[in-house]
Amino acid sequence: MITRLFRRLIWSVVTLLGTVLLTFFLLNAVPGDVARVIAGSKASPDVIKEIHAKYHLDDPVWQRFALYLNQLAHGDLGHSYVTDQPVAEALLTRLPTTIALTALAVVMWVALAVPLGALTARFRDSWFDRSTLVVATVSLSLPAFWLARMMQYWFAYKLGWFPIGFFRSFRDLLLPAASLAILFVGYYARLIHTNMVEVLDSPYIRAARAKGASETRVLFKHALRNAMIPVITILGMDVAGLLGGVLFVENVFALPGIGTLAVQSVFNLDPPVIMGTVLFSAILVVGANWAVDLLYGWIDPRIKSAS
Amino acid sequence: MPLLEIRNLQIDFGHGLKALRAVDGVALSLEPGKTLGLVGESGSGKSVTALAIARLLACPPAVYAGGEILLAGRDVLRLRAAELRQIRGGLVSYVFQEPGASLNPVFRIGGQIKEALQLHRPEAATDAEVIRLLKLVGIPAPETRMKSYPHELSGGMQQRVMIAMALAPQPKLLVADEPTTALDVTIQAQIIELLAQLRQQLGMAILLITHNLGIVGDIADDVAVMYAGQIVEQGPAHDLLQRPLHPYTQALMKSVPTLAADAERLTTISGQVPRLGAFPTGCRFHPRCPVARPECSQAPPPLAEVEPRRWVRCPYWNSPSLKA
Repeated sequence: MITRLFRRLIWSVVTLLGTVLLTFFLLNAVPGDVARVIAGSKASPDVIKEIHAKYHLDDPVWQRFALYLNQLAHGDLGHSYVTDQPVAEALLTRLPTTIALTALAVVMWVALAVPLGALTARFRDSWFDRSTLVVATVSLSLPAFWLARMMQYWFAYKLGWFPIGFFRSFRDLLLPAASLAILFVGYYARLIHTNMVEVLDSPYIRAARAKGASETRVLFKHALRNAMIPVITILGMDVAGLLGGVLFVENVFALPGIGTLAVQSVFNLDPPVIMGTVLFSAILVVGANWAVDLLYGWIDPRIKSAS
Repeated sequence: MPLLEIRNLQIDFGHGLKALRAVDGVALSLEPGKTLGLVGESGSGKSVTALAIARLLACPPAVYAGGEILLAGRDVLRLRAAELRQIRGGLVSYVFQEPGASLNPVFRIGGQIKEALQLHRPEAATDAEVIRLLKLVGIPAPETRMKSYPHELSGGMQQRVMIAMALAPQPKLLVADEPTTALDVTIQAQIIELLAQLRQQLGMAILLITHNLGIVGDIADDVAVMYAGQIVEQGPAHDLLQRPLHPYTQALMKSVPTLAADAERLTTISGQVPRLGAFPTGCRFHPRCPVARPECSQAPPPLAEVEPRRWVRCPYWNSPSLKA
């Protein structure tokens, strides 16, 4: 167990370092003078020179990378070239919005997908199962940016049920979170359905019925937990990768989260912030892997003793 | 009144023209506290019959096409879902073939036994009762074992847990569906001994499904032999095993390996068990029967009581060629 944890730790560090390296050199290859971005197009050559000196822009790329790593090692993500705000501060002030949005979306889609998946497995090939399959296929084929815009147009602008944008209260998150949740609920309903169908055929389900357990109990106590074992891995990865969808949704609904920060930093060509948001999403992926591992041991006792 | 009485049970798989009859007119009767062995090869319909007693077959594809299953006088096939749940576990409990797969892998065994108690004897759903049950089935250190997960136990121990779980609600009938098939031979003997001892101790009836005639001799009072969805012979265990009357039962007995015989090869029954839906006309055993006559492929023979309590589905049971 200890060696396994240690190996995982090493891999996590390697993953993060690789991400930093790749992003840094890719950013370096992007055309355009960062100094021009900072000082504006009318700045004098002297000012540009000064900025170049201040940010070591003329140093060789590997030297600047070493400098950045040294900075990271001291827990410093640097300052935005555009706003001069510390990157860590920019991330932290925007983190709660993104977490709230993501958490709400995950709760919404899991809360919907679990009963849908379980009941369609129980009533396989019924009209309920078939129509859910159609709706699910539609839901998982929708593009995030289109769906978010449509939701906004219909439910906020046309019908006026929700605010159009900005983040003042929990209510403002409902529509953006729903846009994210809809993208995943169909896929998860099918995923749980497939696992559930398999589990419902196993001898321990027959044994549970033979005991006198009710169908509800058989379905949601005996079968569900077994059916969720493979789903947990995928859920972990999807939550980590959710930042992609969050990017669109936050921008459409003008929510002050990591997603808007990331898009802004790209438009501004603001390398420290870009590095910061990319590093953040990498940490999210690594963290999700750890969380899945821990959850696995809890949900499936066979894994704990096998490792 | 018998505890279990099955009358003319007919079970199909599928509907209408595609229906395949897996169980065809089976009749069985079991008195309280007695043990009935139901013997047959794979595909003979014995497990389907056993599962039908608590209506555990998945419908579809199974269809209860006819007959009655009277359990303590009530027809199981006519019960509503809530009544059925009372019967399952409460009146009739099951022990299945693969204990490893029949225990839920994600719950502790103590919890699974306690669930059976909660469903039928809620007042007794305590750790103390779980420990008592584990002791009853001979599990050492039950206090620590109850916290184990199924995969942490050996096959024999898993089957003991299944038996403890089946006994928890104090059922009147225990249906053991090939309880030892997945276990190795020494463990088999232990489990059969345990069942015999529990029957003595608790006074419950046992329906033992098996393809192993040796086991039947050890524990059963009566034996019914099934072939291709029908009962072909039935009678008191001792008598039937000593003097099998139906050619199929005789062939089965001959294929039991003995240590005394110094035969080079194991005796087998020639041919194969007919596939469901492809049962031969007339007597279903006639293509494999060593003493079959031309008439055997014509009319299906009835199950007849040829001696007191001895039932045989073969009109030529008394012919000289069979007695040899």
